[in-house]
Amino acid sequence: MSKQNISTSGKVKKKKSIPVLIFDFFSSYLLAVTTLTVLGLLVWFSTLEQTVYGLSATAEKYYHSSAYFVIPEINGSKIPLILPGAYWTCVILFLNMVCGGIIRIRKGIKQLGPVIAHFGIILLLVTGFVDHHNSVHGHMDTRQFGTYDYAWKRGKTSLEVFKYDDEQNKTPPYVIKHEMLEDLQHDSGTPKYRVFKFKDLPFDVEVRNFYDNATIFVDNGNPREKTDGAVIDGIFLRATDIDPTTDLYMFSCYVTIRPHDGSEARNLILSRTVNHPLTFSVEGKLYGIEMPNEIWKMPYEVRLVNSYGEFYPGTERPSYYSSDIIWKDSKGVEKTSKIKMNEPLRYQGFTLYQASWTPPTNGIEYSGFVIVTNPADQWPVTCLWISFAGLIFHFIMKLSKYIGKEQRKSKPADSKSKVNAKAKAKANA
Amino acid sequence: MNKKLRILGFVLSLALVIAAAIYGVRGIIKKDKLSVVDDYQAYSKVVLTEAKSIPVQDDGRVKPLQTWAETLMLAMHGQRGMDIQVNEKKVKITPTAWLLDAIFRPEQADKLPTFRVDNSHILEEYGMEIKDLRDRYSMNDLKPYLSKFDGENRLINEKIKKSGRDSLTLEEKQMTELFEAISIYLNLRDPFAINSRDQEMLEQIGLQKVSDVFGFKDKILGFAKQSPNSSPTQLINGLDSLSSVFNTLARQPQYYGKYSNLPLFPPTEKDNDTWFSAGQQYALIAENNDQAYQNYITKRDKFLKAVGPVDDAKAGEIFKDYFEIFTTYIDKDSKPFPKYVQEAIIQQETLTAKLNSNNETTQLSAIKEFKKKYANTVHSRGEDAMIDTEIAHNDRNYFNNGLAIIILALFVVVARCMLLGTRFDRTFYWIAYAVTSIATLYIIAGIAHRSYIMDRPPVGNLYDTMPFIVAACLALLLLIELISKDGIMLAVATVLGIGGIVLAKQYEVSQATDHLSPLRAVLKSNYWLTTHVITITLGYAGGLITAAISVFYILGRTFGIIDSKAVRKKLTSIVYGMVAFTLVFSLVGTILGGIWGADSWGRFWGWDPKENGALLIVLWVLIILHARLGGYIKEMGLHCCGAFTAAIVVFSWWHVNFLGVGLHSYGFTSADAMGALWTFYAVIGLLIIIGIVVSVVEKESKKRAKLEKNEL
Repeated sequence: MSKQNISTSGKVKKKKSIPVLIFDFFSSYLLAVTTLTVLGLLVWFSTLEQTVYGLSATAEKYYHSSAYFVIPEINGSKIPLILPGAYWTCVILFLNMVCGGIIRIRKGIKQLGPVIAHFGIILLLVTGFVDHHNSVHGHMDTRQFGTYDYAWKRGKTSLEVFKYDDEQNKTPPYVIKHEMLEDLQHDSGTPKYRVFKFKDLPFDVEVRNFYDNATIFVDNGNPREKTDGAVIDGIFLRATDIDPTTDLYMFSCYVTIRPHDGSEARNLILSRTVNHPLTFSVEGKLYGIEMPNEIWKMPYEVRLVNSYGEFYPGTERPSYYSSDIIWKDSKGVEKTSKIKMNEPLRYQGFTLYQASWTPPTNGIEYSGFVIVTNPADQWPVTCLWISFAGLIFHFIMKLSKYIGKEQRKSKPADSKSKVNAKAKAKANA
Repeated sequence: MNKKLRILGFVLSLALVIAAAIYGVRGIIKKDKLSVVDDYQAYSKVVLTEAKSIPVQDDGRVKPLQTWAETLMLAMHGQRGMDIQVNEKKVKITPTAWLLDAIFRPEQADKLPTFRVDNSHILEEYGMEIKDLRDRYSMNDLKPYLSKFDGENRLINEKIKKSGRDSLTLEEKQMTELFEAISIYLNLRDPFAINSRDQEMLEQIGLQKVSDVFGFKDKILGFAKQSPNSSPTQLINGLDSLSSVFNTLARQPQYYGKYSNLPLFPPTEKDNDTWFSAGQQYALIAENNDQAYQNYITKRDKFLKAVGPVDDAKAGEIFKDYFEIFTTYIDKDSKPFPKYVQEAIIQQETLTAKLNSNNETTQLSAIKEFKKKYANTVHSRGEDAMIDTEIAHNDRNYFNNGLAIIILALFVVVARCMLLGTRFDRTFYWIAYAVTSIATLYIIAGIAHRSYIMDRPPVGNLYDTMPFIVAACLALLLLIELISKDGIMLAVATVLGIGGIVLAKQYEVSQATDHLSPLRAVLKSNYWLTTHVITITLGYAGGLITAAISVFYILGRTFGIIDSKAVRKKLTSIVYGMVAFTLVFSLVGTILGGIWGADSWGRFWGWDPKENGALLIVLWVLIILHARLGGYIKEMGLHCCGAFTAAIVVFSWWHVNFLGVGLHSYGFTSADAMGALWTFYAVIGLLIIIGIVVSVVEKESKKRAKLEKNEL
């Protein structure tokens, strides 16, 4: 038998079951207003915080699925406020919209617009979730007539160890991925390090003090305020704040090469700022180690044929740029495409965008591409049409109702005033 | 509250709005004390009409000289035009006249009060006598202090290099701005107007102007081969003098020409689209020839050192070799000036000479000839298509005139308020409606005209958004007024319109750049500019209308002006409708922006400040709508939230641009602008507090009245 409460008005009020209470909570306006407010605060704080920490770091802090709670900062000072992470706030908003905006909402022609609009936004949130978990971004800097089947992943580094052959050419490298390095971050606690062993190499590589962003300083003998790591060959690394205007990470770390034959270990400093490999010899053979962005293998090759660019006359403001490329489809058939600003090449879930153009140097042309794979790439277009249809339908319905109401109000008043005027005129006569 | 007090309060509020508007346009209406330039020779109207359509290339496009002159004058003088006193008569100097003087009649231009200085104390430090704190100075006023300025400029540049621009004090920033203006001004003048010291030298060797240098090779060689009666030593010394004189002569305009900024000449090659400055082209050749001269000196000295002391006999022996070194320098190492450069310099010299004649016919014919000389080239390149229509656009001054009409409409609205309930009420209502409609149409015509000139949709940069938002607000409010018919929307429209145009004017003066400039490659998409940019801008307009009506409601209730329940209800319905309107356009605009971002940069959403700003508007209006539907806010709550919409819109529209990060950053920061933004937020905050207090007080008095009624 279900429990019953008697309200003050005398009506019998059924006590709600727990699932109903949960549903009521998730479908409530209160939750909608709260989540929207929290989301608004997160967006606002994150916008201001970007000026200090840059876009990538701020986005990671506020919007990544690993951010359960956020303590916002303004000008680098913490605010005494704990907010849920934006990803999880969006999850709550998603549930709220499904429960309140689709299931609980009154059904009828009057509510058709909001239901459709809610559906569009729900789909947009789903798009966001899919994008967050599945999209990968990279860039490819190409040189005229060069062929490329890889790109560099944005915001990720890697450590590459390789051997030089007898003609001093690089052999295929052993790659240590970003995920294996990022937990070796330098902090004031216990030093963290990891030793990597390679099947065919006569040495191990020990990595420690990994930095997201560090600058190489020359040790001039003066006492330093803070020395994070060792001084190697007169230089050392120090963690520095990322430049928020460029938002580029200068990944760096300390590395020790430990030969298996017991010979002396070599200490090295690796940094993303150094654009060439460091070399060392073990057992008379030459090896190299470097820290480029993480390589991303493409499903097809791209060859840059031509790169066009123009500036407005007398200025350095670009007016146009495009690239002619040759690429191979899945059947190995060569195809030619022109990639322009706002007109990318889409194929097999990979999209190639013209991102930059450099004026030719010594007659050689260059183009920069951004490569993205995102299964939800085109979903926002559908979301847009659905939301627009719902909103415009509702808006027009409400507007016509309002206009009708105003006209009804003014008509009797007009006719009344006319009658009064006529009566007045009659009386005057 | 006493009725009289209420009216006083409302009038004071209105006065505050008008005072703010006047503060904004003070630059336009403030009459400076006229500078007396008695010997100024004004150009006639026909000369100026002819001159303003001279095509020039600036900021990536070909435009009439008038547009260029307006931008430069705005940057230096802070206004488009200046008044001076000539023989006790007021003379108006248009931007075109001022620029013609700056280029071709520098002696006249130097007397004009060109340089606006907002804080004259910065000049006082150099021993200058100053008049007002905010004043205008001529080049003649500043000339005696230029070397001191130069020294200070170097120190400031070193500081910038060391600690960045942000480290500068306000005074240093103001000094830097003045240095930049002086530098631009000096680089405008014709580099071929040789100063008097050189004129003397020119006359000595029988040459009158720089263009005479073009035949220098033949002249020098001929001169060197003459003088059969001279001794070999005399001949050698003569060659030395010749080389030195001609190098000095050829080099003289190099220093001015190098930085000359007069892109008056179209290129001769079809595939080249960059116009050239004759001074710069001259400087390039002169620089090379100067190097050739230095090489000649080294070679000659080496030769003479090897020869040893030279007497007449020795001079005779070595003359042949010496002459060989000389002719190699003159004939082979020195580059001739290309024909197109020679022609340009001759044109510029002719124009300078004739414009200084102070004879209308001579001046007019000079300008006509100059235009004719390059007309075919410009026409064949299709670069003159928009010159005439741009002049018409400039002359119509749409937004300034639009502002005047809206101010007139505001006066009619105020007059109508005074006549409420009288037989003139409706007449004044329709006059106000008509005048506001005319202002709206005028501003729309201005936007359409700009759009036609730029050959793109109406909104492409921050400046474009301002007249567009004003036009959208006026048009929407006029439409709502057709339904509500009580005149409130007219009052709101006029105040919003004045505020918007004043903002546009202030921004225009502060930036002093050509806002008709072509767009960057990534923005060059008429499809996206039409869909995303227009939609999001309409969303801003919707948000601002919402806020303006809500502010009217809060002030009206505070001062008891709107005590009728029906009016309150109507205003609430309108605000609710406008919130919905804002949602439709902001949401659609924001998603469209994401889709554009996905097509251009490969990501739908990047949490860039501008994107976040747009999202904040969407979130805020959603909060309002859901809070209203959930019953968390009542009438006053809705209006307080409505007023806060202005802060959110301003954050998205303006504030994010000053953050200096993100793909949409406009790359400028201004302490004044930030100050204005924070003041705006504070005013909105204050209004919301007032609204809450009024609501609480009213509730309490209602409670008390109810209690009293019950007691009775």
